[in-house]
Amino acid sequence: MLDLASDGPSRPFVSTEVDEMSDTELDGLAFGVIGLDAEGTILRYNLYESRFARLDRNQVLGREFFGEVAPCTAVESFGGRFQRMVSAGSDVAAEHFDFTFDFKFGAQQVSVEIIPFPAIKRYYLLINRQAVGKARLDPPEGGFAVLQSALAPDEAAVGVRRDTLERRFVEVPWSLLAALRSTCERLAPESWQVFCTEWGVQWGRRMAIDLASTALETQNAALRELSMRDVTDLVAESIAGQGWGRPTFDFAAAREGLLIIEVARSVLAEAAPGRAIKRPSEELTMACHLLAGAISAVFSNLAGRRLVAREVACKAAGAPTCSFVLVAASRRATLDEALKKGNRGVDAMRAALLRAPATREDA
Amino acid sequence: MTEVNEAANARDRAVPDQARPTLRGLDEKQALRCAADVLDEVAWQGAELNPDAITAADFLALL
Repeated sequence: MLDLASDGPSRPFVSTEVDEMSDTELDGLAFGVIGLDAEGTILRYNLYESRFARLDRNQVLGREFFGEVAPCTAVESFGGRFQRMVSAGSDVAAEHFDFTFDFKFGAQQVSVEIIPFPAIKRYYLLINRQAVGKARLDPPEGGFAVLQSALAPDEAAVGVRRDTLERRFVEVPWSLLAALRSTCERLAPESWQVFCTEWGVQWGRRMAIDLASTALETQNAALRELSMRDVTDLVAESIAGQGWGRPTFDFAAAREGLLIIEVARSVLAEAAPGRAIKRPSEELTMACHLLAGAISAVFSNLAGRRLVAREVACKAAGAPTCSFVLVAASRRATLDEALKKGNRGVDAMRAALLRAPATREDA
Repeated sequence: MTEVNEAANARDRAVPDQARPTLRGLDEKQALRCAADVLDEVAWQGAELNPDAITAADFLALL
């Protein structure tokens, strides 16, 4: 399989370069980013902020931040500070302060940094969640932050569905995945696995942000500081809750440098072409590259360095269940070589990895 | 047997079993604990890690 430069954590964040970052890069950050113009109109809004504010990015872009979206910030300590910064023109430095966001669904203690780009009249709010708590009983000065339902009422009537955290979702029938798989095989027979792995990596990065948000909301803790059991339970619930199949994690080989994951009833494996009669020349291929990419990205994000997951046995290729191993990026070549030679299954991979012990440096 | 050997054997007999640890490294407080608890703890110190007792960050550092 091709090397994927993107299956690790994103590049290091430099606040003075935030305006140059793409939307995809902003979505990979584990803190909120809101880009404003000098009037306070929202120009950019990343996934983390969207998740915590429970607002759809498409509905907030172009709206006025202080008055319309977050009235609780229209106070001297936030909106006033922003105004003074804008009025100061080019001779202005970044400012850092603590604040409490008041949503109707809860209060959020945050630290805020305003990064000014006066030459282009853009100002970025970097918002780091410190703790979450219950909502105030009385409205704060300025009022509560707006709710998604107020920004876009009656969305159901126009075919928009949202979950309890106001994230838009689409109900995907099994047949759509089967159609995607057959299209991939027809149009890109050599490279569809790479495409699906990369898609999974991008999805996994967003999933990691989501899991971090859940950890902070439910346990007031950073995800990486939770026990490994709690983290894997969250990952399993997230994947199974969406209907992809249920992952279980086997920690027995951790001291050998690998984490073993099995996914029962993977929808990707079951959507792969069913071949009750195997033709002699036909090799049944593994199907769950999307999940492998997502697992890579979620745990890379947690580890803060590149980890690589590969599917090593697949129900679509005749195995009883789908199995994956997660290893350091430095062992990716060993893993891929073993798979290329036709080795399948967790035991075969453990043996191959034991024969080629890990170096501690990532490739 | 030489005189030297005899003297050495006599010294060994004189340094007795009291130097040998009685509870194989466990102190009395530990010895009084439920055997199942101790076994459980020891088991997790072996080849397998206890995912309940290690943070995700520390676990993933092993990979």
